[in-house]
Amino acid sequence: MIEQLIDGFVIAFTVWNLLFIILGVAIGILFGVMPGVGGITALTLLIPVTFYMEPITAIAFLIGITKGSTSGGAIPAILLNAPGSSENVATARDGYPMALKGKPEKAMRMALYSSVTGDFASDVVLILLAAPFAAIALKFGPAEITAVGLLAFTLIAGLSSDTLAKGLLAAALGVFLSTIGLDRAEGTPRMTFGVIDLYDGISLNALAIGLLALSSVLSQLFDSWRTPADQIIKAKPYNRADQNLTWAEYKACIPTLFRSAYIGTFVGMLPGLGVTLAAFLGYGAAKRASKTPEEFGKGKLEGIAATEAANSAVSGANLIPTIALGIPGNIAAALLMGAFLIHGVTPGPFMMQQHGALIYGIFASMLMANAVHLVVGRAGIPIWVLSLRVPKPIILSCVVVLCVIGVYVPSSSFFEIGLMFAFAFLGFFMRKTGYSLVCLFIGFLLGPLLEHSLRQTIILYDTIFVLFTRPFALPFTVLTLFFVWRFGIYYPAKRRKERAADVDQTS
Amino acid sequence: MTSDTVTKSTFASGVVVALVGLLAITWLIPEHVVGANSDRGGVTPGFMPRVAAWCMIVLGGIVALNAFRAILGKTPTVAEESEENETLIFGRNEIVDSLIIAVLSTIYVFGLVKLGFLIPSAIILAGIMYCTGYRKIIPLIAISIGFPAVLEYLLWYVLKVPLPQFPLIVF
Repeated sequence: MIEQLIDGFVIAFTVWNLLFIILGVAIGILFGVMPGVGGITALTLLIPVTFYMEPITAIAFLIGITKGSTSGGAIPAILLNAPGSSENVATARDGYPMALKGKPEKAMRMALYSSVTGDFASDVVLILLAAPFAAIALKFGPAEITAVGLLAFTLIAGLSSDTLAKGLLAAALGVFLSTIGLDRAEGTPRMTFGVIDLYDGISLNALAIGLLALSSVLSQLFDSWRTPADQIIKAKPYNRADQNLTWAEYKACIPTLFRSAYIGTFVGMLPGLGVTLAAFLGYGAAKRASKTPEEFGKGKLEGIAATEAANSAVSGANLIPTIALGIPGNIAAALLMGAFLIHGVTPGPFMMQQHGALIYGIFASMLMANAVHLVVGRAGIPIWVLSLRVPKPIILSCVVVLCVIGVYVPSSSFFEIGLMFAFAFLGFFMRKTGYSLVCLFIGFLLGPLLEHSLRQTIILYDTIFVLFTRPFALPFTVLTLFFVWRFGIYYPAKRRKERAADVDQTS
Repeated sequence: MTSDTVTKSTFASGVVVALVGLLAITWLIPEHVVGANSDRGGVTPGFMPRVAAWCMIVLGGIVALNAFRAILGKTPTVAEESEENETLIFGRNEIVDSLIIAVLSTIYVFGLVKLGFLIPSAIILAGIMYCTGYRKIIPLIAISIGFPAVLEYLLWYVLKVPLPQFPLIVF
């Protein structure tokens, strides 16, 4: 393996390859910064540009975009509380409060370093495990994927929402919305009401931008409108001395970084679970492991480190099922798979045998892209901080228009713009009443996978109780039941007892 | 602590979602999912929508029941936090804000269809900036017109992506 990796570096380390990696990372950060636009839009727009490139250069360029966009999305999350993509929602929890304390650059440095650390860790795992994972993943059938999907819903609902029922309700609504469109198995319309724009289902782009980005912006705009000028919480003045991230501060976050990288890598290896889940699991795990969990959400460096390491660790690990099985782990992996196919490389169990040199060249390119990401990202931070000098009403109103562009450009559909605003409306309500936006989004994203695996399970086994009898499915099923008890019964009862004790004490 | 308005709106939303689930089970799925009523057991196209709808009914009921008990004072409310540290409240102001979003977004989309990208976007930008406290008129006008104009130019001529056009001007 080491010899193959060295050969990969020999193939990948060319001036042309390096230039395209730098360009890819820079474009990825730029697209990631724009809320609602993100790396997926960049990938979609730029895959055709790679038609005439060498396969290794093309894939390295696209991987650079993916890496750059993940950390790029953290920038608006930190500066504006308007995450660039859904995986950066958790970053805003501590990033934005830290920016309000006058330390935006420190927050962005932590986000960048965490992102690169998580990326590097998962790339190493990818290189080590791609081949062996192919053997194990072949044993994962529909029942196992169903069990994993149910666990994912329970975890995300329990970690993202203070009440499990509200989190699961949001997830159920997301799953229901995902069923609108043509049935994937039979091609018959479901709840489309004859609207052709709905035949492909509700647009993920419109839902994500409306629910996650635009609703946040609208919420902030209305808060600005209603809050008297003397009561607006202004960010503390920017002080250059406060922006340094010391080695001691980074070192203190290393356990969090590696825990989150491990979580992100594990989530990334399982198809369909996605980056957002990893980010929230990483955040939740860091909070639970912390000696000062009450400081999370108020500008804690570990909060930023946890989410960015986890969400970046997914990207490398996502390529494990993509390369090993030909099953893309998420949308970005699916787009990369499309790029592989365009360049005559068929992902799957035989990919390592037929295109081994190319694969290890891509692995080497990924490691190179991490170093490039660190340099390019670090150089860009002072530029993004300058945006703080721009009055917030200008930035937020421009983001509204960018959201419209972000939806219209891929689809050229006014219907989708209308959908985006409808989801912004829904997201606004959910924000104000404590419902989890992420649960709805995850439900929507995982709904098709869950439906597909559930239907296959029932066709194959005639019963759902196979989730308790299949050896690989059983641990996930048991974990699901455990977390339902933990989040749905144990924690609420504990909180009620604590509240009753507080009331007794004060009276 | 969670405000009363949020507890009441939680109750209302739980009831609404449960009713939507019930409507889906009784009408939406049987009438608007082709093949939902076939006799092939659990794997018709209506299977997953039904599963999701039943989950909405049950979970909506649980959410509404918990909120109702909190309103009656039988159980203390669980102190909830927003995902993004926003204040949880849904009173009269938030209802008005929701209506404003609905009306303005409808007008904006209608404007995009009839007038293209540039004019409605410029108006929206100017309106939002003015209403949220930015009152320097000349920069306001410059940004309102300049930003969408630059975007339109970049998308049309650099990325070759057509945006909605004003019907009297064809690029």
